[in-house]
Order: sequence, then C-alpha cells, then structure tokens
Amino acid sequence: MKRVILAGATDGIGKALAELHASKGYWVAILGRDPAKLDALLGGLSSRFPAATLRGVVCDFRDNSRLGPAFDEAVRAIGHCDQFVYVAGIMHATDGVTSVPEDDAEMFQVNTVAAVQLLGIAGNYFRLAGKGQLVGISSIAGDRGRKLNPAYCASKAGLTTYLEGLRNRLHPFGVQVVTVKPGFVLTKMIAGRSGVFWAASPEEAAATIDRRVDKGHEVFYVYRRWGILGLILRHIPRFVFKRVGPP
Amino acid sequence: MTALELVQGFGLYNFSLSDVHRPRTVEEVQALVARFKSEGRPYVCRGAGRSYGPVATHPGGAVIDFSLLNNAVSLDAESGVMKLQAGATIGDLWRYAVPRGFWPPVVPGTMFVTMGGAVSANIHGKNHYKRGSFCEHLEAITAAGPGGELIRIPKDDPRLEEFVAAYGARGPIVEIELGMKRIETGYFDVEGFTLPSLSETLAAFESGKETWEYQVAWIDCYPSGADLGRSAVHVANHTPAGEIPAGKGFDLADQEVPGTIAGIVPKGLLAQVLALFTFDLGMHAVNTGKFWAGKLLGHTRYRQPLVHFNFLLDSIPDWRRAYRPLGFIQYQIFVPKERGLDVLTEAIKLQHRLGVVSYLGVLKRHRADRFRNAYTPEGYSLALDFPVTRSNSAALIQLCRTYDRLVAEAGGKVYRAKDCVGSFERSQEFLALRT
Repeated sequence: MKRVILAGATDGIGKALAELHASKGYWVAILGRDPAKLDALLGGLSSRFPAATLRGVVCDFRDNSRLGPAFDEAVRAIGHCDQFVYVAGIMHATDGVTSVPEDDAEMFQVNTVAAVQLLGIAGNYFRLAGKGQLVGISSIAGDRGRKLNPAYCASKAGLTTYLEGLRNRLHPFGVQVVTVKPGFVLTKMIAGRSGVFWAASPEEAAATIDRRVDKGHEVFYVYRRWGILGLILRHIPRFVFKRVGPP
Repeated sequence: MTALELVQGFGLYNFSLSDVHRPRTVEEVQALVARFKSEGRPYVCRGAGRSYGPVATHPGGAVIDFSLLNNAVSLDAESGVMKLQAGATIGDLWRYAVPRGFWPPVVPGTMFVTMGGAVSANIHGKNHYKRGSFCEHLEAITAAGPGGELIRIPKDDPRLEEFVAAYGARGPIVEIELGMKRIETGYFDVEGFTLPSLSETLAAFESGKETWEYQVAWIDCYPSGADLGRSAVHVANHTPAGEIPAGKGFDLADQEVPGTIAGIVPKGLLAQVLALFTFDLGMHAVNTGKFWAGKLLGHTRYRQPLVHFNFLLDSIPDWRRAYRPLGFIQYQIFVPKERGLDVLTEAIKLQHRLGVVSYLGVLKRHRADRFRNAYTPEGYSLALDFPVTRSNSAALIQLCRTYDRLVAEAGGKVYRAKDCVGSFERSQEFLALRT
C-alpha cells in the first residue's frame, strides 16, 4: 500500500529499491535524469509487476529549478507519498592528489545541494501530513574526511549532518528520518575499483534498507560490521588518521 | 505561494496537500469557478470528506470545500420537495425534516455526508434494492456552469446525468431539490437475528426483499469452513401510526444519539477504547463476541428511532482515530446476484489465504441503477474495512488487486467513492480493453 518516490533510481541501489517496491504491488514514482533510461526501466518493471503503479518523472539533479516541480509532479502521479528516498549520488574518480574543481562541485550538487532541497521539500510535505518516511542514502565516506576523495566525503558528511538536523526537526510531527550508510555495494560507482570488501549486491542492500526503515531504525549500515568499522574510523585520532588513515 | 493544508480521505490513508477555498455563499462559489476558469486551474469539489478514498483530494491543487454552504433552504409540505444547499449534511436535513414529518428516501450509514457529495457519488443505503440510489429521488439540481453562471437542471433534463456520480467533474452543485418520504412516526420496527453462513444470509435477503424496507448484514470475516460468512442481520420497516401515536418521535430529542454509553461512559473515549482492539487478534475477538452476543439474544424485535438505526457508526465520534497513523481502507465488492455466493465466498477465502482479514464486513442488497455512471448491478455488495499497517501493506495491496480481477471477471462494479487503491482507474482500463 506504500506510495514511494525514489530520487535517482535508474541504477544501483535505487533501481533495486524500485524493483522491490514494484514486486510488492506498491506505487513507485522515479525521478531520473535520462528519459530513455527511465522509460526502459518502467516498461520492464510494469510488464513484470502488473499490480504495481509505476510512474517516471524526468529530473536532472544538477538543475535546482527543476527539483520542486519534479517532486510535485511525482506526488500527483501516484496520488500521495508515504516514503521519499533520495538515492541519487555520484563519485568522480580522482588521481588521489589533484583536486578537479568541476568534478568536486558536481558531486556537491548531486550528493548534497539537490539532496538537501528535495529532502527538505519532502519533509515539509510529511510535516503537514503528520506522517511519512524520509530516507537519505549517505555514505560511510561521510564519517571521516579521506585523502582519496575529500569532496565526496565532505558531500556525504553534509548530507549526514543535514539528515540528523531534519530528524530532530521533524520528530515531533511523526515523521521518520533515516540515514543509510550502505558500505560497499556492487554498483557502477565502485566498478573496477580495487580494495573492495564486504560488498553487498544492490538487491541485498535494497531489501535491508526497506526492512530496517519499516522497523523504525534511524541510522544504519547495510551490514552491521560496517557500523563497527565506522565507529572505529570516527574515533581514530587525527594525527594517526593523517598518516595512516585509509584512502 | 498559497498555503497548502492537509486534506484527507475518510480512511486517512489517502490525502493531499491542497489550496483549500471555503465559500460561504453561492455568489462566492460562482466567483471562484469563474476565477479558476480564467486562470485555467483545475479544481476538486469537496463536501464533508466522507469518501474513503482520494476523490475529494487534489495533490498540490485547488479544492473548493462546501462545508460552509450548508443551509437547509425550504421544505414544501405539499409536494414533499426539500431544497438544500450543497454543503448541508444528512444531519442538517433530518433535523429540519423529521419534525415536519419527512425522512430522506435514501440515507447512507453516516449522517455526515453532504448533499453535493451525495449526488456526486450517487450514494446508496440499506434500502437500495427497494428505493434505488440517492439521485433517483432528485427533483432538480442547481449547478455552477463553466463560467460560474447558475443552471437549474430538473430531473427529466438529460444534463442531470452529467452530474450523477461524476465527482464534481462537471462543476460544482450548489443546491439540490430532493423528493422526500412522508413518515407517520419517527421510529423503525427492527428485527435482529444471526445466521450461520453466507448462503443463508443471501437467502434471507431474497426472502426479506418484499417484506422489509431496509436490510443489512454484518459479516464476520474470520471463520472459515461451514461458518464462513456467518452474519448478524438487521431488517426494518417504518413504524406506522396506530401502533404508536402519529407524530411520535418527531421531537429531535427522541432522535439525537445520547452523549454517553449506558448513561456513564463518555462517547469521546470510545475511539480510544476501540484503538485497544484494532489489531488482528483484538478484532477477531470483537467479531466473534458480536456474533455470539447476537446468537444468544436470538431473534429480537424492537422499536428504534430512525437516526439510531441508520447512523450506527456515528455514535462513536471520530472512530477512525483508532486507525492512526496509517489509516484504513475500504474495498466494496459489487457483484451480480447470480454470482453473489461464489464471488463473495471466494472474497472471504482470499482474505484467509493472504492473511489479511477484514475488521468489518457489511453486506447489502442492490438493484440495477438507471444512470450512466451506475456502479450497482442487480445483486449484492460486500463492504470490507481493512487497517493499513506496515506489516500488512504488501498482502493488502495483493488482496485488492486480486479483488480487482475477481470483480471484473464476475461482471461486477467498482464504486469510486469507496476506492482507495486505484481500482476504479484499473476497471476503466479493463473495460476499454474489452470494447
């Protein structure tokens, strides 16, 4: 019976979430940048899951003026919204030493600026409704600033902090705000990368996210062991982290 | 930017944030309609918001709420025609009409629906098989045309069709003229009894069709096997003068539902008490208890004020609070008479198979409706209430989609006013595919 809006679900975890909700016969509106990809995904899902009600809304997360209208359009398409998930995210590869300003700015735009706006808009909606689930897919990368990709880490740290503030703000209104820090998930974001471990499939990640959100959990990693690792990471002293911290 | 406010379907599951306008006069309605037309803005008309689903909601859009346009304008004692504004409720209506010796020919299970809503959804009651739907008793309606101009449409005008069960799509209704029923007393002679199965309940409806003006059965959806569809039936006729003095019960004090239960428990607390039972085991117990209480009482005969009999659920103020926060839905299955037993049996079995059993099932007898937007075949309807919870969500939508197919396959109908899950749109697509 759930009516879900997924921001950024044409790939990876978002796509797996779309599939999971469609398989249950729910209402799913997907915000995505590429109309062709959106059509292909919705066409495939509709034929596999005829009980579901699936709609696509074209939205480029780099265009701030499009975010509000896209959310409204998505709500109209599925009647109302019970759960909003911001799952769009990009990570540009780096050489480990050189900052590329355009890449860094784009990561902030998609991972933080658009996320904050859409989650804020959805938060206003849920506050008036007096119920709702607001989910942001952040990252364990946001737990510490790391040398390989400082901008990515910072963009996710921004999102994590924003979600915490929003949770505290919306708690009195019956709105659940969830921060997910997945850990490694086998999507195109980490394709071809070395040093990947404890990796979950997107389907596994989606199933865990859905289950734990419904259980009322507020901050979690896909595997609990990532949570332990995150706890350790957050407590390594700065002078140690600077010299021998992970990339 | 206009401030949006929360607008809910009666079941609380469907809702929208909308820009709500509350006109107080017919002129204000006309001005709004003209303005929306010139701005090219679509709008939705809303009465008391008693439809279970989303028909009176409008995501991000404009809503005209008629609840302040609620005058009972007049009642002609000669012709029995009553004029009411669109936002007047059945409650406003009977409080005006009963002291004057009239009762509406068709009432729903709640007195809180408005006249505009009653026409726009073409509501029905427990006497549908005898008196048809609400709109069959209209003498005329007055609507605001596309430019805001008022048009009076009498009952033989084919344009009336465009407003019946049209959910405001043709523009707002501002006033109705309703042919009322003359009554001799303010009471019903009621009989109550239990029946052990669905087939016997349907048979009782058939044999009672000529004798009784009103028939309704509450169905316990929990038992399976031989007890499947066991019921508590209530049937009623107007008490004629002679049995009791003419005009007895016309005093409003005789009709008003008391504010306390058994003179002690304030009814405001009832929703909270109900909330203690709104989980599967609790409602199983309530349904079982209700059936056995009825069975132990046996075949009862009693006299009841019109209002008490018709608006049973209204005696628990805002009972839907018990279903917060996710709300509840209703699925009303309309099925032709000859398929009644097998389709409704299957409908209850499906609940057991999928593990979502209705907390409240209400069976009624219907006749075919003459209007284009008719939703009642000659046959039966079973209205089923289900809570929406995090854990039943997936099974519940699966049940609804299975019902969609079951109803379509049996040649049944979907009633838009009760539809919370998009079954109506699906049924339209299904029909389009067939033709």
